[in-house]
Amino acid sequence: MSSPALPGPPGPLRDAASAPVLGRWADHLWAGARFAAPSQPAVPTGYPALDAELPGGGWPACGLTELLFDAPGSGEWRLLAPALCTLAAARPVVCVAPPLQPYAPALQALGLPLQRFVWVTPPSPADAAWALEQALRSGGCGAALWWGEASTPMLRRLHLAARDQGCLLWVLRPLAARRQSSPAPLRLACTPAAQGRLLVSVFKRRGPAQAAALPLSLPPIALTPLDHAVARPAPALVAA
Amino acid sequence: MLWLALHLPWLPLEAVASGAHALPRCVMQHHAGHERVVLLADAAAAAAGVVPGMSLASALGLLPALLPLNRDPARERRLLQLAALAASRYTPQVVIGEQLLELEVQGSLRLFGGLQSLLRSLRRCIDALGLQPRLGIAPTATAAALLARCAAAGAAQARTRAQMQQRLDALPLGEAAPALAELLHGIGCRTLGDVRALPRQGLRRRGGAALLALLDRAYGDAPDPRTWFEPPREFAQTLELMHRADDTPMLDGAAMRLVQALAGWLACQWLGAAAFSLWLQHETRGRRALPPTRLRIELGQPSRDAAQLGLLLRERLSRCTLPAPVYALQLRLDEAVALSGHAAALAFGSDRGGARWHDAGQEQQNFLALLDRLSARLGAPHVQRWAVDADHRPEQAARASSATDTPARAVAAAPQPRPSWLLPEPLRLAEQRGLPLHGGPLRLLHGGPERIEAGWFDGAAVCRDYHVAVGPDHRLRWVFRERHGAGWFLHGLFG
Repeated sequence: MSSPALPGPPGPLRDAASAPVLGRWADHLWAGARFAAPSQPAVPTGYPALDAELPGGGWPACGLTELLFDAPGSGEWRLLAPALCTLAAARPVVCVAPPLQPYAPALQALGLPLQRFVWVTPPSPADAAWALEQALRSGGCGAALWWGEASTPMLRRLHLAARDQGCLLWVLRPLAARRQSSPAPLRLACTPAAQGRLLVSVFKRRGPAQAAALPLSLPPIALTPLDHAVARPAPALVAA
Repeated sequence: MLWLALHLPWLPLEAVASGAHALPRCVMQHHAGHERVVLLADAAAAAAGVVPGMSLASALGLLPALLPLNRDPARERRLLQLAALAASRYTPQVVIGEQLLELEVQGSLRLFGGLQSLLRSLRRCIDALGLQPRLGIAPTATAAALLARCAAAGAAQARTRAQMQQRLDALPLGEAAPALAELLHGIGCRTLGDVRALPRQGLRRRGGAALLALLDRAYGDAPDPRTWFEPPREFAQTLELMHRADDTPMLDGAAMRLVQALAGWLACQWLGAAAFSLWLQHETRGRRALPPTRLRIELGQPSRDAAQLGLLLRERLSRCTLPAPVYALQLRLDEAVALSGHAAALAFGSDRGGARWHDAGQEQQNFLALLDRLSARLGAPHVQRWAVDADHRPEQAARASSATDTPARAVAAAPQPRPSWLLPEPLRLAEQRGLPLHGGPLRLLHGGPERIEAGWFDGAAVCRDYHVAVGPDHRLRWVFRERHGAGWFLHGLFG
């Protein structure tokens, strides 16, 4: 083949010896050794270290992304807050089946515009899936979050709905779901670690396998002494 | 002027058929004395040889499974009126005739994107009413009606006068002049064109005056005044069911007919429904008369889109259990607001289909429609927004409101850390050497405690010292101990 190499993104495929063989198809092929280029620009996560691990440099702008946490309260809101702030500014966000009562003062303190969040608490998992599909297909919401256990066909259906309507869907599932197959193109397992860090393991992505789990520093949570704070040591500390 | 005539040849059958039967059906009519003869037979009955004019005995002889239904002119009028209301969305100029609706649509063509697009939309609307129309289009009302009566399954169209004349000339005589058909047939007249070629004086002397007047009106040679259908001032339409309904799916068809009429009425008044109710009239059981059941549907975003209104009503119906069989439905409009301009154009949007809109206004409309849909199926308490309330007590600092309400104004939250998940009730924790246990011993972070002491004014006083604690699994918890009491409690989780 003698077709000249076309200008394209630099990558292993470009400078390898295979480039002349592939010719003009090189741009349309994705090799597993490099990150896939998503069709739409990704939504930055707000954590540069995490952006570097995700194809396109952020959360995929449409489709399903799976986040695995072992229990609520593992840092999920602090992880998602920067991206949610960006998305909610453009279009409303729907949260389906939260495991506990979301606490408005904390979410507002994270910078989330609460008037653009709608919380749906369906009575049954079937209703949850219905509500989610309605939300995704309506074309009126920018992102959706779902805490729930779903079958693979249901996840595929939701992924397609989200992709067609240009909507970002995060499904938050327990860590045990890691062993199951899933249609989500991006899957992350997150476990809290010492010093307020979150160990993020990107175990499925359109790119090379991750070398080691990424320790991500989340914004710290600390009490700041106030004027009215009680200026005596806690009784528990005295007892200890 | 461009007239669109809808002839409903199956109206007597459609008015009395309930749709739930698989049996072949026919409609009977009293004829010359007490004998009942077949007026109209459906496709299955016609295939077995049942034809109009046949006596009941012969029809049953041919087809023992035949279900004879009695003609009900009152129901036919009722259904025709609902159809006229539904068609009002296309033009305010609607005329009700004998199994016939006439619409003057010249002024509406541009709004609906041309005649073909209007016809498609009209067909869908009439379909939803459960009617099978035949369409005729002509510059005069009488010609449109004549064309519709003789049209095949499709629409007979004549946009210009010349086309109209040509098509009318070719029409067979039977429909226009049943009384004179034999006489005219005898002298070799087969079509309307042949009749027009006859000397007028002679035809008039032989009793053809009415036929001549009809032809003059059809060809546009004589004035053709009409009385417009006037929609009622307030919308409250009742439809009696043919059979009592024990289950809500049986009500769907009748409810959708009413919704189509409501959408048409709203469009012709330039209104959008904000709240409407479906009243279910129950059969009396023994001596006890049950009050009617009311299903009220409120819309966050006023709409006159039949698809949207129908969807909300269907979801509401599917959640309702009937206390007793239902024999009639009434749809009443409770609240309406003026809806025009941009929103009105969007209300027609779902009829156009196909196009994907990407403007922010459309997205917001979609979202509001979504909230209505979710609230209709799941119930308003299951679709909420959370907002911060100005209170120091953790339980009172957040407030949920229905998502279809206007969002509350944002209030600044406390500067101290708050958990993103709050437990419904504080959870009593076990203690070990004065420290709380939750999945292992918890370690209190520095900087605490934060004392929250409020509520003495409304009887729900709290006085607690809050700490942020971290467990062996590195998850952060919000724990407190009562100032006047012992023991640790878990109140929230930091997400």
